[in-house]
Amino acid sequence: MRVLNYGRSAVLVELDSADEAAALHSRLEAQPSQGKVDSVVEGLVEAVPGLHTVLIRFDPTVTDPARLAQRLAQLWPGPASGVDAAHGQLDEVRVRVDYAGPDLDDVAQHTGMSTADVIARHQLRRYRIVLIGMAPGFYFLAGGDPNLRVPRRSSPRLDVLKGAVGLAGEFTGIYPRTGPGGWQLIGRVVDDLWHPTRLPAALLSPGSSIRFTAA
Amino acid sequence: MIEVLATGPHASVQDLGRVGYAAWGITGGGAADRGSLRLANRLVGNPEGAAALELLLAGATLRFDQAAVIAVTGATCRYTVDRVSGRCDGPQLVPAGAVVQFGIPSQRLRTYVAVRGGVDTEPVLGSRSTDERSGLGRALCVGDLVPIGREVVGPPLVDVAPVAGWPNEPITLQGVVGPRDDLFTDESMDLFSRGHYAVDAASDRIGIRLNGPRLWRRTEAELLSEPTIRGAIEVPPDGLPIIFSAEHPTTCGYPVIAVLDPHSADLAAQCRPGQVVTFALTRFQTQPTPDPATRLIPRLHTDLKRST
Repeated sequence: MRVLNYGRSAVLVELDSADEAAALHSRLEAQPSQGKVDSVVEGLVEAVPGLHTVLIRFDPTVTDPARLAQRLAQLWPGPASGVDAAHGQLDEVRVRVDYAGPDLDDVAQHTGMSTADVIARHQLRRYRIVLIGMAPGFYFLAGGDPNLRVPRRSSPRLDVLKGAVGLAGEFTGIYPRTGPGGWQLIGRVVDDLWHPTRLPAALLSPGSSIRFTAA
Repeated sequence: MIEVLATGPHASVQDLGRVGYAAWGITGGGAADRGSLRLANRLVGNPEGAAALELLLAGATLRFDQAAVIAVTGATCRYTVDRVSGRCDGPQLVPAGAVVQFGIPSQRLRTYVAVRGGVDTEPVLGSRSTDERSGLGRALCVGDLVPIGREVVGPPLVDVAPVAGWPNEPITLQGVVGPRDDLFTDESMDLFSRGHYAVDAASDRIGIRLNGPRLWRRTEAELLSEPTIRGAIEVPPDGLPIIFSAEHPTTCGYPVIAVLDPHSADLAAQCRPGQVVTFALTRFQTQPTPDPATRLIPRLHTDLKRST
């Protein structure tokens, strides 16, 4: 566990895996937080999960990064016991995709495959939701074909369409709404997966399994 | 009620945003310039985090069907209450039935209009903030009726608040280096700390895009998406930094080179396209952070708890 300063009122905690990050986050979520001085992690305002990281916003009038790091070390049982119920086994959900994304050709070129191969390979594996992040209902899916690893676009698009399916690094992502984004887009989900005013707003939650099929 | 007769380029209801929903990808949102929202609320005797109107380049026209006290802060502009000139940065009485018409501010971007008692729209997930990117609420439209609440903390006590003028350009934004500064070349870090950047027209409540010296990484290795906050400055592979504003994504996949202090994040959100900014960055001193005086109250609180 490595604790990095993130401005004057937050720290970024780096961990070794997505499972560890999820475990630390769920441990912090279980705390009575909201900046109360009597919360178990003193001065904790909010804990935000990343893929291998957790960002902790704190009240700088109550605590500081050094004390926070000390407290986190006490709280963190270590990697062995870190992997817990954060990623339970849930039912597999089939998600229909119209594979006609604007970056399909770029992905094919980068991976040295034909676009048909990219589409076929993307449907082969079972994916797991490791994080909802970036935007409300933006799903990070792990478990994809390693041959489909591509970098993000060099400059993010301003208007990625709702439901767009993109690739970045080892992950597949699904955009819940139209907005900016830097992933390589290969298609678009046919059905609605996100309901913004309902909580849980997501049809799919962290830990869910997904399989893609061409619409 | 406040009836919206004209919105100007963009008008929305904002407070200090949502805390605790980032794990669902729902960002904090809220006022792009927190300091101006807080000031407007204090001037009318509201809790600092009460909801108010955020007007982009002002230009709105509002009719009040009840007598109200308002405060106009941020991008202050000429405005009239039934054709009589109104006061900025101080409480202003609006008689029942009056029409308040805003001009165009000559500096800054976002005007805040607080009303005594607060804007009382229905809160969603603990906040009245409009977050269009998340699909929570929408911008105000002509004909909307905005309810006025009753929650106040005291009477308006100040006639006019002294507010620092808009700085001469370039504007200096202050912040803390890192957490991913070690991914950039020394030359890029040097360019970033000394260079002039101009605010791009494609800036909004999500992020403030900058044009200027491009910043290069030491390696091409991609970063795993990391959580982020308002004021963080990410650098995409094209090398041009983006300052995250109120509706920033909850995580970002590009390295964050520095994080602005809240006041500077407010300033950045008030910069118009073309505005030149520079950065004054420090390394965060790890210890001791809080001034003893500011710690006295929480400490006392904890000690009292322990003794009971």
